[in-house]
Amino acid sequence: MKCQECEELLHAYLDGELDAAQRAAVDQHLKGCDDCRQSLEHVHMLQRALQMPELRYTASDTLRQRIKTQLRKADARERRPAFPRLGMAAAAAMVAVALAWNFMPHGPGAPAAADDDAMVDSAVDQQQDAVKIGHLTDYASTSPSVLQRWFGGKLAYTPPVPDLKAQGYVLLGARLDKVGGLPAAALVYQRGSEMVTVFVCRAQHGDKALDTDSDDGYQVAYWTKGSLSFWVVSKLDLAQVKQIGSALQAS
Amino acid sequence: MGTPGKLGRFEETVLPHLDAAYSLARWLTRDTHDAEDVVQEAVLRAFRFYDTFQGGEARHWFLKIVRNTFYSWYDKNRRHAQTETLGDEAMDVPGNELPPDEVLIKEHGAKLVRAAVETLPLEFREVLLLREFEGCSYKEIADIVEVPIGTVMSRLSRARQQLKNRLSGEAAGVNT
Repeated sequence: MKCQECEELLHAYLDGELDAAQRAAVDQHLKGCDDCRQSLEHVHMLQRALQMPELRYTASDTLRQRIKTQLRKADARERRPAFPRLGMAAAAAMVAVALAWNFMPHGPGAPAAADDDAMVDSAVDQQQDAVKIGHLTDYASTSPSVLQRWFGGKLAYTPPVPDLKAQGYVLLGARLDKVGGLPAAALVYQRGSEMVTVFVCRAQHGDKALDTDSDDGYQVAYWTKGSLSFWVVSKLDLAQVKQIGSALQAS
Repeated sequence: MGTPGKLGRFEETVLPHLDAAYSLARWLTRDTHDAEDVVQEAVLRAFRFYDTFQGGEARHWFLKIVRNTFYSWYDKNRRHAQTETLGDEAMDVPGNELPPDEVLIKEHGAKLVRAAVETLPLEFREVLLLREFEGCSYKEIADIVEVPIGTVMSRLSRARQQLKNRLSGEAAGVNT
């Protein structure tokens, strides 16, 4: 082993990140090389310096208290009814849906399906929250097959991960999210500064043709096909969002 | 939607790592108040996305959120915040074999080392912190920082090289 090679492996050697063979090779080289032994000692010195207790930071009690209070509030917020942002008319519609739901046969614990408007609203809400807190993807990958594998077992169904390269959109990754309280896959695409998020969730009703809606500056194209419902959410103009929707439907 | 017991489970699995989270945020922001803001926001984010946490290393999952929260904060505040020493090539000469000066480090102690770490470029600083203070493996660092392991190795080696040079008597420039 040459010194340069040893130097490249030195940090991984120190950090216990080499396999047995590499480790033995470095050991061998160090035995016969003063320079490399000295480099190693220098890094050791650094590590000792970084162990000084004065360099440890711990969270203050004030911060701990503040966080506990904030968490309790956040928890209470999450437990409140899901659609406080809707107006009275929509709220009345929700009540009607809820009433109708009560007379429909469904299994115990089945999540309540909201109507189309509320689902669109919820998809946009989720997207806005994700943007606001800067957490667009749980898993970043540009490969549909890798993402599909990542979803494996995380949801009760395997969402399709379509490729939108032909439309000029690059996959950024995916996250697990919710639409109207139902577990959903969110696929995130980008073209330049434009983002497109596709939510996929288990269908709560039969097939529905593509429809569009807008909410809070977002355009949404949505449809249900087979056992899955889709929402394409973006700030692009409606025609473009609709076009992506059609392309996805066809794929 | 909040599920019963979510808060309790969150407090049990994630909150024990609050010190690690604060330490990372403190080293990245270099300021107590900013670090507290970042940590608070990161905790709320983590709580919100706790449903998507698949089990496994809560600490590593949480530190990744802290780091992402820091970068959102940093992008928003960068104009008023850190002036980064990017591309600090002078500090990065691999041939410079000056040893870290142990006498100097002993005399000026933590203050000197802290300043040396805090002035490392962010991309080097974060891998160094995760390795030296949080004891993360290269694989964990690669996942948290979202770069290949090879990049973690090269950044870590450059971080240490720069740190060493900063702590060598000549470069430290301490007024004694």
